[in-house]
Amino acid sequence: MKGIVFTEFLELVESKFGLEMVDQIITQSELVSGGSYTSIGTYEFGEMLQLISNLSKNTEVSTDDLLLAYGEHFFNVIETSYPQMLAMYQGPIEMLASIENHIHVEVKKIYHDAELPTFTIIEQTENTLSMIYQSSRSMHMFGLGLMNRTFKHFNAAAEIRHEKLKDDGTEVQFSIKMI
Amino acid sequence: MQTPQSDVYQRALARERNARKEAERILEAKSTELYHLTQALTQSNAKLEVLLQEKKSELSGLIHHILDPYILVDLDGNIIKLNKAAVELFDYDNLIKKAGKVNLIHLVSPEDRMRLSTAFMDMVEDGYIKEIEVKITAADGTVRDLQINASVLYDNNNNPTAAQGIARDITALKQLEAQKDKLYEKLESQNEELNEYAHVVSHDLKSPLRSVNALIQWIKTDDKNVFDPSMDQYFGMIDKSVKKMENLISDILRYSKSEVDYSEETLVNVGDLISEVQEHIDVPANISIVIESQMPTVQVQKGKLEQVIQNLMTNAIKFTPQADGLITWKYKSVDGKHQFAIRDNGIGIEEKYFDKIFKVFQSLKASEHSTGIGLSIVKKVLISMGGEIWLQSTLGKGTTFYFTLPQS
Repeated sequence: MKGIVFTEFLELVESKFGLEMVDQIITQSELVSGGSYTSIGTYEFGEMLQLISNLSKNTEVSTDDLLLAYGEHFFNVIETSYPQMLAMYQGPIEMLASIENHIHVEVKKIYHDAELPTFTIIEQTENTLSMIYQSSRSMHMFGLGLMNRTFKHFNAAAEIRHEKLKDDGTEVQFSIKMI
Repeated sequence: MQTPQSDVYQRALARERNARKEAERILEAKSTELYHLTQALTQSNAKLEVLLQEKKSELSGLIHHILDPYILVDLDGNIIKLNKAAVELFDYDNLIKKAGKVNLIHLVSPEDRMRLSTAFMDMVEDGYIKEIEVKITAADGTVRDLQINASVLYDNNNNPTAAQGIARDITALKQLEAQKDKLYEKLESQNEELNEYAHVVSHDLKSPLRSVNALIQWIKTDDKNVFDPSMDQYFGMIDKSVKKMENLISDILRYSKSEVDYSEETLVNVGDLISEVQEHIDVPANISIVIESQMPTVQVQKGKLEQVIQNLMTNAIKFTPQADGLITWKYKSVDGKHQFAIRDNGIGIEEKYFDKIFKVFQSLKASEHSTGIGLSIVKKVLISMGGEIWLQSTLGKGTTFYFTLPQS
């Protein structure tokens, strides 16, 4: 997993719960990296799992809610680092529909070792989009956070429903309706 | 004594330090990788430069040494580059000294400028032009005919950028063509004159013959009682000679006309044509004529082939005097040619005469009917049709004439 996902996560934890909480979850987890992350490095996904589940234990906030909040936070990185990519799209539906065939293709060009989820479009109209998220990482809530912020970025609102097609969350259907 | 708070900071600091070192290590590795990549790119660039230079010099050498003039122009027709042959042909160095800039249009003679300009626009539209002919005045003052082939050059986005053309000096070819046309015209009129001449001469020769003939008849009738039998015989001989002379004159006329047939080629079934000829000629009772093979259909001038068949048949009949005379026609296809054979079981010809019989006035048999022109007409007509003729013969057994026609 790319280092920026860790550094951004720990910064968010620090801003919301303080440096002590960062120190606590790192100490509680068994990390090969020792908790030292740089955005340009690559680390085991298992480290992220441990950090999130320890944070959830310590704060009594569910991992799903934590991932949702983190996804919403992570959109800032995209806004700051890749504004020209966001500028290519006229609206949120158009942008979300092109994750698989455009955005992820571009990501792969820069980070050829990036491991990305797949989004398969089931149905798309001007104001609705239905697609299936697939990833062994089960981070669909992180995706939902990014989606929420996408609508906000385009000054739009949406009703986004998600339904697990597999219990472990590796396959989730998103039904998006712009309002 | 450290407070737990300061432990947290200590650990955070240690993590940040480690992260910084890790980042530095990654960046160091990246920059090494980039350095090597740059090195490799520089090297391959240098190789490409060398290759490009090589190709450039090959191309410019090629263009320079082409014997035909080569010209590179922009899309307005202004000259960008010429090879040695073009520089010399147009005296380009002098032109550029005078005008500073030279357009293609100024190289050709005024009456061809409109045509060249239209052709140039067509080329920009279609991508190329082929075999455009223009006249130019060369550096040495002579007027030359050039044939131009040219094409448009495009950039990476497929936009036209320039045009290049090669001109071929076809002056000599044009002159030869003109000479040929003139010669042909002259030949045609000479031929006509000759035909007319033959016609007049034969007419003029025949009329005194007719007078001689009439006078002999009168003498024979008027002085019938005066002549002794030997005189009668002499008059008979004079009579025959006069007739032979008349036949000779007619045949000369036929010979001179034999090639002059401008009729269209048509599809002719040779078997049908043989039967047709057979009906027109006088086939004596002692002769049977048989067509043994399946005859082909050929594309020819029918009149010419009819003349060949008729001459060969009358010839065969003439030299087959015996009671069981048999003339057979055969056909086969040999080496892409139609090969016909007409065989008789007549008197035959000695081998030493095989060449002689195709020459004018060479008859092997002194007879009032045979002028010796028939076979020479046959040969002349066949050659004009792209065919050949030859024979095989055994004295006393018969003769076979073979002739061919092209299969096209």
